[in-house]
Amino acid sequence: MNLNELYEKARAKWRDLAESRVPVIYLGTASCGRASGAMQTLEAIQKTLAEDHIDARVVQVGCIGPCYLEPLMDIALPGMPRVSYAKVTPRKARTILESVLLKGDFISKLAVGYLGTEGIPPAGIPAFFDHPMLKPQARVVLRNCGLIDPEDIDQYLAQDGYQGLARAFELGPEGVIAEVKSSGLRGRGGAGFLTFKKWEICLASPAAEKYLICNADEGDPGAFMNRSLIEGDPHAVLEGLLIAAYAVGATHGYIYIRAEYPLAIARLRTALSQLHQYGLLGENILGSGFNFEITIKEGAGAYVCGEETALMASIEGKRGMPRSRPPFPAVAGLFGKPTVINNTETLGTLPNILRNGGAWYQGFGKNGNVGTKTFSLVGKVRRTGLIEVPLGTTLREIIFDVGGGTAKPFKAVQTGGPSGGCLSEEFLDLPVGYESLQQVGSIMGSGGLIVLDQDSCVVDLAHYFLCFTQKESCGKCVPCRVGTGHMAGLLDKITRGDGSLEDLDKLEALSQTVQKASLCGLGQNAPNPVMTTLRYFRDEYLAHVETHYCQASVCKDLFEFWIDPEKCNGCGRCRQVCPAAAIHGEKKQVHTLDVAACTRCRSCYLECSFDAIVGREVQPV
Amino acid sequence: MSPKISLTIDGQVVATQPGQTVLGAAGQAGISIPHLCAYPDLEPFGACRMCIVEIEGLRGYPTACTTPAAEGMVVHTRTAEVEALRREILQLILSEHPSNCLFCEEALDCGAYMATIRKGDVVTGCRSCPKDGQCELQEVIAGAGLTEANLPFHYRGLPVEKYDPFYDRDYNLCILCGRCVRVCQEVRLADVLTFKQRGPAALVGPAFERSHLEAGCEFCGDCVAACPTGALAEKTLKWAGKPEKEVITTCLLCSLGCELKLQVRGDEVMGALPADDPLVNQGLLCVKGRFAAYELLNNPDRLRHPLHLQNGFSQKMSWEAAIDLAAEKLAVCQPDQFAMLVSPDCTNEDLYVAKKFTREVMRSHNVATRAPEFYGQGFGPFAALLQNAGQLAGLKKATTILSIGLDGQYGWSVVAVELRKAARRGARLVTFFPRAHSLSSFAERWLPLDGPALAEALQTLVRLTARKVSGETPADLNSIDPDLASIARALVEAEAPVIIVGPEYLGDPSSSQVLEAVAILARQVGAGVLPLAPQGNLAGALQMGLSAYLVGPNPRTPLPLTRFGCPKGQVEGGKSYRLSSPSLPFRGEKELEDERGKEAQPDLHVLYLVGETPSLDDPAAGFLVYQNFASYEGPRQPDLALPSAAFAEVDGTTINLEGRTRQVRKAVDPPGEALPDWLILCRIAQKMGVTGFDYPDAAAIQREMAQTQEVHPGVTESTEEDLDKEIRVPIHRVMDAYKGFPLTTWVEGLRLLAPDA
Repeated sequence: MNLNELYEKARAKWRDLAESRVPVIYLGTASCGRASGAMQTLEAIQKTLAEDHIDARVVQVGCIGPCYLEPLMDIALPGMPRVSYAKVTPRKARTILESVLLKGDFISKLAVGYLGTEGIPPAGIPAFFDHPMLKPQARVVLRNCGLIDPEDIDQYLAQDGYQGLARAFELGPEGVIAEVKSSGLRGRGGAGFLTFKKWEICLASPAAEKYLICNADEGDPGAFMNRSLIEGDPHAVLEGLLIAAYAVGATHGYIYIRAEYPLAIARLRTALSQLHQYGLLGENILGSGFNFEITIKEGAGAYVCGEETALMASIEGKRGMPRSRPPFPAVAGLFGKPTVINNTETLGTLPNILRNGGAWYQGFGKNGNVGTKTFSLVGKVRRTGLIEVPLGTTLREIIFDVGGGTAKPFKAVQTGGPSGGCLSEEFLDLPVGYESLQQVGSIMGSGGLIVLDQDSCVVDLAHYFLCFTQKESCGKCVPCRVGTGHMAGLLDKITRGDGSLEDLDKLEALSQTVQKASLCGLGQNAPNPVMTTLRYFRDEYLAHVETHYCQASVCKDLFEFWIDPEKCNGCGRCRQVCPAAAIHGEKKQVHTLDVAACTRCRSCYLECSFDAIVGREVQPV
Repeated sequence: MSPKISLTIDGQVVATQPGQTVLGAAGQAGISIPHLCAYPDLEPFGACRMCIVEIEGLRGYPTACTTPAAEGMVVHTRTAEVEALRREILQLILSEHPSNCLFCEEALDCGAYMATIRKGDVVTGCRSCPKDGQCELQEVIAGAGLTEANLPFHYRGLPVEKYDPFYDRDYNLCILCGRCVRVCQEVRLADVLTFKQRGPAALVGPAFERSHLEAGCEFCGDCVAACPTGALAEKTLKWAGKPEKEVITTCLLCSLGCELKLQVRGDEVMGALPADDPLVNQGLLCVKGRFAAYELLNNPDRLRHPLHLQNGFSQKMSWEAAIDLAAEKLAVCQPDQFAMLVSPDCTNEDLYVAKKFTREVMRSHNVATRAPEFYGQGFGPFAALLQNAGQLAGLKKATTILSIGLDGQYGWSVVAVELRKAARRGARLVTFFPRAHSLSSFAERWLPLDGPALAEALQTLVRLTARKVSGETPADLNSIDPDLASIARALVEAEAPVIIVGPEYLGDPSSSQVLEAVAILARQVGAGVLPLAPQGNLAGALQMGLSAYLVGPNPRTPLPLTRFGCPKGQVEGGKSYRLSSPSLPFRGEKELEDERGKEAQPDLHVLYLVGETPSLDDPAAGFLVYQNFASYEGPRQPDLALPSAAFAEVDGTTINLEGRTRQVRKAVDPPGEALPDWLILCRIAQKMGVTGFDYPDAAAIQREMAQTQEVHPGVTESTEEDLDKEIRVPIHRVMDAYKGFPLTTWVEGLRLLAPDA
């Protein structure tokens, strides 16, 4: 089958779906949807359809972005665009389905928006992509996520999938590299090196065997960009992998993916078998003479295996430990052969660049940055989820426009995961770019954005991240293995109220040593959370050390709860949730809190709707 | 000459070859950069971070050990920033490694107060680390000028691991430089050690909490030698301090002839390390060479004085008295009433003098080793293999290797390492061994055959590899085991295959068929054969003509001894000498024949054991002379015990299984009054008034051996009568023996390795 036949078939199939004579129900069943109960919703949908004898098609799609709205269900009536509903519980699913499909009532107050341009949208429902979270976004990598069935290659082909690969074959390896060079694409894994550079080195190598590795070992706490992309549009990544492999002359590909991503792995496997079926993988792909196979390698759970040399060691069956460079992987990598390792998102971007041209991609980006970048926006922000914005968008735009800001006053944002930095309010207008973040002591990383509000303690945050990097250190080099331990120890001391001013200096000095002397990026960036919080939130450290007070009411030894009699209306909810029976009071009477019995679990603090539970300095007995 | 590159290190222009690291280039120029994880022969690792430097044009602080030197590179190794960082890194290391050996307020006075009369004979001063004073960490810290540890100390609190033989492990002292792991993986290819756990729990050792024994450790001790701290310490060297000197010699505990670096203090051999000998062992040793020396040489049973044993009492006597007694007994002994058994673990010089003594002083044929009894029917074929042995270096290039009867985990592990290297580079390794063994895990094929089946298999291989044998029908070939057919093909196709003959089948009744088949097979396919003789200097003993059975020749095993030449002009240690057939004619051959013709005296008057132990099965003799390095306790008590030297206590030569002459050097004096074997024999000869035994040293014997050009006359045709009189000489069927004693007699660790032995 040649490509044109494939497209014809795929497009016919897509038209069939788009112009379906029966209603089509789309349900987001990526991991974020499933975590919110999408599979129960799916069951309810199928049950409802069966019980009500409704003829309709159900299509499972990936994550469209606003994870806080999951499970998201779309209903497309014949000749109408898709109408999207949020937080669809099984019960809500039945209500909506019966209303829409049986009565033709879209219940516009429940609808989030409509998707698609075909047909007339129902009245009173805004466009989905006009949603405040989505409007500022630019969907390049994520263009198909949530819109197509990720397990159906035809749906991807119908979106002009694998046209980038076809164009790559027309351009030839040098042409592909030139195109990617003109796009200005930089590695989306964090370091931000120009993608074409290592490609050139690898292509120039005369070696008979070369490898291309897709790094999908996404281990940062709170980061899920790669997972969502693979779950929502695996073929975008695979097409990118094929383009890159063709450009560098690779003979075999690996996808190194966390074993903790079972759904993504399953979807990759499905996609790979489809590629074989369609002749897009294997010998002489599309008659280009290019032979390629892809192996999926599941990571065994070490964070450090996201580091490229450790990743290669892991594929080789060795302990995942980084090694020094040079030699760089493009010269001597996997099994000693020239190897290019690209991040999942980088690969996912490539089909778009090849299809639309480097200049087109250059058109994205703000403030001197090029292209788009996906982020997982999490933490105390109102609208959490997977986003894609032009690179160079400011933190304020991301957090307040896309994310909707925080409920309690904004305090900080941690960029780049555990290896990144914690930035305070003064940096909200900083454009998010590789250099700009580095200048203020943070990193882009793979794209985790963790937003903190006044309820978060930055010392506790730094302690958490240090404990994480310490546990995940491979143990090879001294500064990382031992230094992070001492830093975590000092932070622990400070959060317990035993810290001194001297400890802050020690922390600073240790950070310097670990940063400068560590072998790999894990160690070199491990002090970032500490160094940035020390720099931008020094007052908070000083409060911990000097007045033994944690303003955020997090460090248990450094505050006590107190019920503000002015605000307490005696609703008694705090008393009910207190696991330590430390709160006393009669209904409608001002309650009191027994500090000695209180375990500072924060249950009452989070329960109180009147801000009557207040953290304050420990009072002398 | 490889092209040179030049770079600037600390302002000094340094020339080096491409591929060299910055650390290596600096070392060549005499610029020292502190390092802890870098180690010769190991791939760059970059874990300890001590060798960080600044290189112009490179970001941050690259490690000198991992950065390749490049043309025009400008390196600064001692900037204030770098030195400060090194001190910080050392502080981090010291927060995990006890530092009481380094920083002690009493340290300055410690030496002064250690030796007082009151404390006479009492060990004082802190002994906190088994390798105090030999620790590389101490050196690096001294170099960095650190005077205190400023970070809170975290003691891992791990139990000291003492349950494996030969070395103890105190991982509380480990700095995770990974040298042990990398030596085990990169040098030995044994993969016993690995990194375990991660983060603060990261540690080295066998995976899954197994002991070294369980993990298949060969106990080569390379990890111990590589350890920069006291984490790994030899049991026998713990707390012992530094050696005073190192003496290079040759190990005589098997026939490989590995070079040893004996560590010596005073009159004591403290231990042994492998020497970087490029010819044989190339820096590798097996457990015996590495660990047996101390306990073997310093065992409590060493003979220190001549002893006269009468009526169950032993009496110390002077050398004069002992020589007088021996001479007196020997003087009245007819040639046929005398027999001498010499150990094939002796040096060439000992063997030569023993032979000469028997021939010229006693005018007897009766000098032999116990080796023929060890090999049984296979002795002749084995000796023939030894005469045509291949080179160990052949293993380096071989594409097909047949290993017959070799386990190689403990003894012979030097060969096993070569086999692992061969297998890793893709050579076809086929192993014949009756049980699961250390080679079976990586051999391409393992055929678990018993002796007769092996003989049959080898004969099949001989048939299959014979060139165009007429009469071989296709039907015959079809019935052939496909395994064997494929092996035969591999042997024929290989350019220089190697066949290893290990000790396993040597005692088997089928051994002669096996060995003869090996010889034919090797000839047909052009293979080099490596006959791994367990005896240290069997090749030397054969060379000296000490191969025959006692009393008369054995017609069943005729030996073409004349072919057993010296290695072709081997040059060793700058000295070139040849051992050319140093067999000796009888003095007054005619006279002797007359005596023999007159009247045969069947009873032995004197049995003289040189480096052998008595056996109840030995022929009864009126007087038993026992000359050995350790005292013998057993049912058959000698009448006269003469203390002799062991291999680290004499100068001399030995011939390894390749036919290579190797130097044996004296590291220490023999204990007590013990003397070299040859010297004792010379003194007796001189006492008996025979000339030609006044060698001033072993070198003089070597010169004489080199001059002796006569071709060995062979052993005269034996008569029926001789065969009747043939004396059965049993030997200890123990592979790992030295001069008649199993090594397990004294070497405790070897007992743990082979509990059944």
